[in-house]
Amino acid sequence: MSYPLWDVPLLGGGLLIAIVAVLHVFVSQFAVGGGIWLALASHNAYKTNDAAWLEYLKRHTKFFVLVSLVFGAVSGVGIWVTIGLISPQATSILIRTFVWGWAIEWCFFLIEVTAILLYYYGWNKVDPKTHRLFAWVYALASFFTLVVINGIVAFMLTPGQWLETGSFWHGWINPSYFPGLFARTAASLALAGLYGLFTSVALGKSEARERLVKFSSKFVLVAFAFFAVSSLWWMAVIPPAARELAMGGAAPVAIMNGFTFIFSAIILLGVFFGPFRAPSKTSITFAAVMLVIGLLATGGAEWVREGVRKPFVIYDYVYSNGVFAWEKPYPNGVMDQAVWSVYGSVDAAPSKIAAGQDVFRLQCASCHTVEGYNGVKPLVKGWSHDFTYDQIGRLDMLKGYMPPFMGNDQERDALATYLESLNVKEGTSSAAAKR
Amino acid sequence: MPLPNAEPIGLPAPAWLLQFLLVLTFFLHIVPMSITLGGTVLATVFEIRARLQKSADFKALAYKLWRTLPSVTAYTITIGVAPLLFVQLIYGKFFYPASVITGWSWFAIIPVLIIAYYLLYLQSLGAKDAPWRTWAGLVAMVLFAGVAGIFVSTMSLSWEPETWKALYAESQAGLFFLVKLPRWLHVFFGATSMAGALVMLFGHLSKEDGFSRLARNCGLTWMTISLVVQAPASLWYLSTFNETARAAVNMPISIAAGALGAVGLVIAFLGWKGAARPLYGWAGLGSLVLSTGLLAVQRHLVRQAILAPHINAATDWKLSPQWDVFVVFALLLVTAIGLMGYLALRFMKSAAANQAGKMAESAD
Repeated sequence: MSYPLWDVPLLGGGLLIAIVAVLHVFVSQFAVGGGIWLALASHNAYKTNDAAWLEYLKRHTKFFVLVSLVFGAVSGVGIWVTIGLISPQATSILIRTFVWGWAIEWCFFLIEVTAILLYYYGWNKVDPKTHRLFAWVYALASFFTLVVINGIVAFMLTPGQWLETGSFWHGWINPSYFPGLFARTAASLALAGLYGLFTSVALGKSEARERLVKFSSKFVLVAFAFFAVSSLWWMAVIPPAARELAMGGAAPVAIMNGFTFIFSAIILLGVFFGPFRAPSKTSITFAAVMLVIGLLATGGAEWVREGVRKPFVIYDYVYSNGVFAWEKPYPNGVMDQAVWSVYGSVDAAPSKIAAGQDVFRLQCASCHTVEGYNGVKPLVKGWSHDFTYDQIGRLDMLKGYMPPFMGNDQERDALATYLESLNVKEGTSSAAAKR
Repeated sequence: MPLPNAEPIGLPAPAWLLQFLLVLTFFLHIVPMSITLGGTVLATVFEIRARLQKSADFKALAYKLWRTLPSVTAYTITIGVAPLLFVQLIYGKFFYPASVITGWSWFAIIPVLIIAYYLLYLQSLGAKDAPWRTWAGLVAMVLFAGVAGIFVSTMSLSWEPETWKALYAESQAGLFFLVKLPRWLHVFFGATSMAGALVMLFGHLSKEDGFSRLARNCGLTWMTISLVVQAPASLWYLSTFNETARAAVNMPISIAAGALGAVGLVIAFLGWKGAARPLYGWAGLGSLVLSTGLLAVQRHLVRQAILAPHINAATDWKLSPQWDVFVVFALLLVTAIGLMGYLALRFMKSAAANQAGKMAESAD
């Protein structure tokens, strides 16, 4: 209850984070897998002195730099900016716990940027051995950024022993660290393979292209074998309540989980029976469709990972609305407790509805909008004041993915009044308006 | 005053160490940042002059900058991650509320930066005579200047906690953008002077006489104009300080920063005419870089003085050290710097050998 809430209309903070995160994860995982793909492809091309591949890789590098160095890097900062705006409390906790982890990742960023720029500018300028060295340094540095950040992302769902010890190492190497690392590495390699399939069209209809298609499709197939195993492993180690949400406890999360599975299966079968079995017949349209499905699968997987964490931002530690897990309902009310309450108390507000709106902002608006994404207005349509009042008091018991209500009775009443007022048409009298 | 409560988790290192890292990495960030911002301005102006005067030398100068800027921007952004991290760690209770109040404009730095960065690559990779170059340059210039304005807005607000409550009560939708013209002018002309020094260096490093003279001329002009305008802009900025902030201004640091700027200008004058001398180019740029470093320290002293009354060191900065992880970071940083140096050296050696081989081939 320390920080102000950024009221994002229609989208809501959660969806805004999801949009930025999915785009960034797609590009950054592509950058990690693409680094390994690039190093191996360069190695093969130089070793066999394959002029067609080398020419293709030169053009590919330009595009790779434009995607990873520009969009990947800036959207990475974008994640920082967005989580700081939407969940400042959790961001602050994460930074205090993992600042040296991020600093370590930063060192790898510096190496990564230097290596890819030298590789990019090194085409036709440096000897093949040096050029390949740049590619391998980039690939390794890029992979290690994943090794570091995976621990922090996994921590948010499975903080494990950290909850008792507060140790950096317990937080970083947490129960879902290794399955998460394997799954993300596999996803990275798969995305790189899909991207390779797509850009291979630049080689025209040639034997060199067929080899490239085969090479890229192997990336996808091997990656998917790892992805399937590590996803099951991940599912086994996450908290039971989170697993329940993914398996049907929360409809949107379960649906997205199903979609991710279906998208992954489409890619696996499509690449096996298409590019792998018949590389010469792979069209750019097919490759583009696979790449788009890859984006959807990445988005789905991230959605599930974020969704199963509800109602926490850091599991068993801090809720999405900034309330700590150990806190008990505030006897003097949430408006009194919250540093950023507009009115400070129900009595100080100009009306009960205004007070309820303030309580809504403090307790609910980090996940719910009024009328947009996860909008509360349709959710409470037809609810009477008394029914709403009753539901508010038992949110965490009725729905496992909602945090408990922390306010006092007066605030609960004000919130119920505000929620009831949302579905009252202008000009009509209602119980809420009368109240 | 709505100040966030102390965090339940302590700082992973003493505040002085984190402040040192904050100032150091901020300094390392603003040097390439100034070149990105100032360089975009100068390249656009050169592009316009090349078009109006049909000058191949201006075209070459603009192109040289456009080719340099994308890599500089890559380091600006990458290095910039570190001060953003440390400022949230030490001054999070000021930073987060300010960023929420300026929500949309603060969030806008991401799309704006992406567009501006792509425009730099467009200039770098696009056809040299394309008709859109001037317009693309102008848009990139406005966008980078806008990003600087947003940073100035949010960071300034993080130093003004007494204004938060009223602003937040007015709107919770993050619609505020604070126009802080004096501070922005201080940043903007600092950037163009740094870019001017870089252009000067290009002149000293070039072996083509016409290009070298033009670059040194333009570099000197931009350094002179920028530093002459920056001085009153800085004084104007200083005049907006309250008593506490003014008292925190360290005169020896200010005088040394100003003197280093003047030294840079004198070096630029000395190297303006006659043969190109790379040492002059490096010394001119170096002086401005050092001056920027001192200003980064000055900025920190002022911020600390302004915010100190709102910081309870015993609770806000209580210590939960992670020395083992810090040692890993420190060792890795040294390794990273060494590796980057090695890779750059290897590039230069291999490129030189390759060039020599090509020359030998053409001689045959």
